[in-house]
Amino acid sequence: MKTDQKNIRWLHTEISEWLREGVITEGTATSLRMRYGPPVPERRLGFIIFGILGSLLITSGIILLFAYNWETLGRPIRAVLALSPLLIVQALGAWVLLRRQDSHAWREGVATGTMLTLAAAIGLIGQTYHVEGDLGGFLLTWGLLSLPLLFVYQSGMAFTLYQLIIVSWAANERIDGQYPQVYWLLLAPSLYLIWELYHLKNRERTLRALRWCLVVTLSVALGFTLEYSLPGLWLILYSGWFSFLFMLQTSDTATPDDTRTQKHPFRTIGGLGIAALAMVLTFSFGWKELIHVQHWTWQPDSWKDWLDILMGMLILGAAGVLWSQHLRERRWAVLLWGSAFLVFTAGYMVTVMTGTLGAVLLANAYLFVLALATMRNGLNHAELGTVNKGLILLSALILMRFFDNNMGLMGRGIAFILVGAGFLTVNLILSRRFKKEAL
Amino acid sequence: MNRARILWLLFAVAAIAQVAIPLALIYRFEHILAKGEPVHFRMTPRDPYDPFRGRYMRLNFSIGTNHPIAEATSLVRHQTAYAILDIDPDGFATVKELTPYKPWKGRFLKVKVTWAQGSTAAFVVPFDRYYMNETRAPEAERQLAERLRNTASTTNTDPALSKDYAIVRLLDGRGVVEDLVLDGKPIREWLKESEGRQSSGIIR
Repeated sequence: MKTDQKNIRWLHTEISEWLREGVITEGTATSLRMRYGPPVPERRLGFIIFGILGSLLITSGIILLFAYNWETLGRPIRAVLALSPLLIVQALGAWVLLRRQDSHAWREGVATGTMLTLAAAIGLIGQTYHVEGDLGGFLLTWGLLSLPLLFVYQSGMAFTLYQLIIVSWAANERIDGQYPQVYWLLLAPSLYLIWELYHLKNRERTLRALRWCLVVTLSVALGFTLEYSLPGLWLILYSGWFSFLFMLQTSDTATPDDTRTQKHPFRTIGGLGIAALAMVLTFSFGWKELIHVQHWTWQPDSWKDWLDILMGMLILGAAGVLWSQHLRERRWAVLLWGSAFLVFTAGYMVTVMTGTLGAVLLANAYLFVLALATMRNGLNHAELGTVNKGLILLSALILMRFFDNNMGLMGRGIAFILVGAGFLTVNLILSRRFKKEAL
Repeated sequence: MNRARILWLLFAVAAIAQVAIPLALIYRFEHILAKGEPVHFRMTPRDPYDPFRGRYMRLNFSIGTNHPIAEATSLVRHQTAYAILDIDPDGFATVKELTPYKPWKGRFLKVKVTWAQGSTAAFVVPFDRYYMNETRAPEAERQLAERLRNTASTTNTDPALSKDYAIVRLLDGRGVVEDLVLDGKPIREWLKESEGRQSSGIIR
């Protein structure tokens, strides 16, 4: 398991302090230093951000300069000139590979610059010849030509841009009724960068950013790549996907600042997804599309339908494996959230067989239990943030039911005031109690 | 092969492909402009803005809607099809029929079907933009609006009755707009004359 460089730096400072105070011996200090290795100097985040930002601004400026459309120059000259910013950035890229390969900021800047000037070159050639060009073709060409840059410069920004390009391409394919499923083939090679960075030192921050980018884009792309020929399959797939994400990152408790949201993209997005899905499914409209569907006689009639089934099996299988692992380790709090896919699959079955009422009740009960268990978990560990998460879920559930019952303005007003007052009171009491316990 | 060599190889392949593909596009468009058959398409222009590619005239073509689908074939929405073109007695392009199969020869245009029902279908014309210099495009639009006000009886906003047209070079199903013709004059000439008329009006 990789240890955060920030913690190693912290440990090295502490070791010196402990030695000075006589808490540990020189031998223990040496063993500890050898155990965790030397700290890698902290990279300057600001420098990297300004590198990317500078590159973005310069290339955008160049694009706008060309967009002016220099009519006096001949057509072929204008078209070739559109390539010049790309050639300059490519030359800069060669120099970075030769002389500044160690500079993270240079690599990020040059990768971003190359991707943007490439898009500009293709777009401006379209301008010169008055060709609108199809968006799908443009995004695919841009993405494929940019893919090698991810590995040449090991750039997080290039990875992020690439993910955005291929998700946009999948969305466009979905709108055009073409083949958004090809997204998975475009995604696969880019994942090698994550594997590569995982084995490098001092890239935790980039890796974390890439995980965030990946988990968000994957969650969006899943919706674009499904065929939707079996109504409601999306519901099982998404509940499986969010349950899988939530259960994927809960065993990582190595670092002291482990509870911070930014360190847990999988758990955060998984949890948010489960909560959002549960909230939608507490309404009967969430289940309505499943009624009157001939599920038992449905047969896949294209490879796209088969791909949906394969995706479903993969996602539910992966979620099932993690679920049984957490069951063996008796992690009840994790299991409760991670059981979303089982609850909603049960709801799906109930709806198909008996109608929406049973499934709606099930979703309400699940959200209620989820809220109470989260609050209890927060109370047990004296974490006000976790208590508040449970409170938010409970308040949302109460308020949603008020809206569901077509209550008048007066009733809704009182409900809002009561929930708000409850929120404030619980926070006030708990923050005092936790302070006392801390003393 | 060591890592540095792989990196350089990857860099070289990427750099060459990144330049080669745009160059191939330039070649393709230049080839169509040089070898393609000039065909006139009736249209009416309008001036919108693209934040990255600048000002352009949106060309509203008369062809595109309700065309017959070739016999014994069918088309669905989003499908790629080929519009078989004819020339009417006034010298303008018309669509004879739409087919899913690429013709061996003749005058045709590769299009994307936007709507299809029974034996008729509609499509998007793949060249509906004409990019202009940032200062010229709004001026062109202003002149067009002025013309519409002054000569409402002779100029029509319906592209099917319009006297304006685009000269498009067609080759192997692909088209590139060569020029726009307004009131029988290429757009640059038309703009120059319009500006001249306007400035003399101001002096008077």
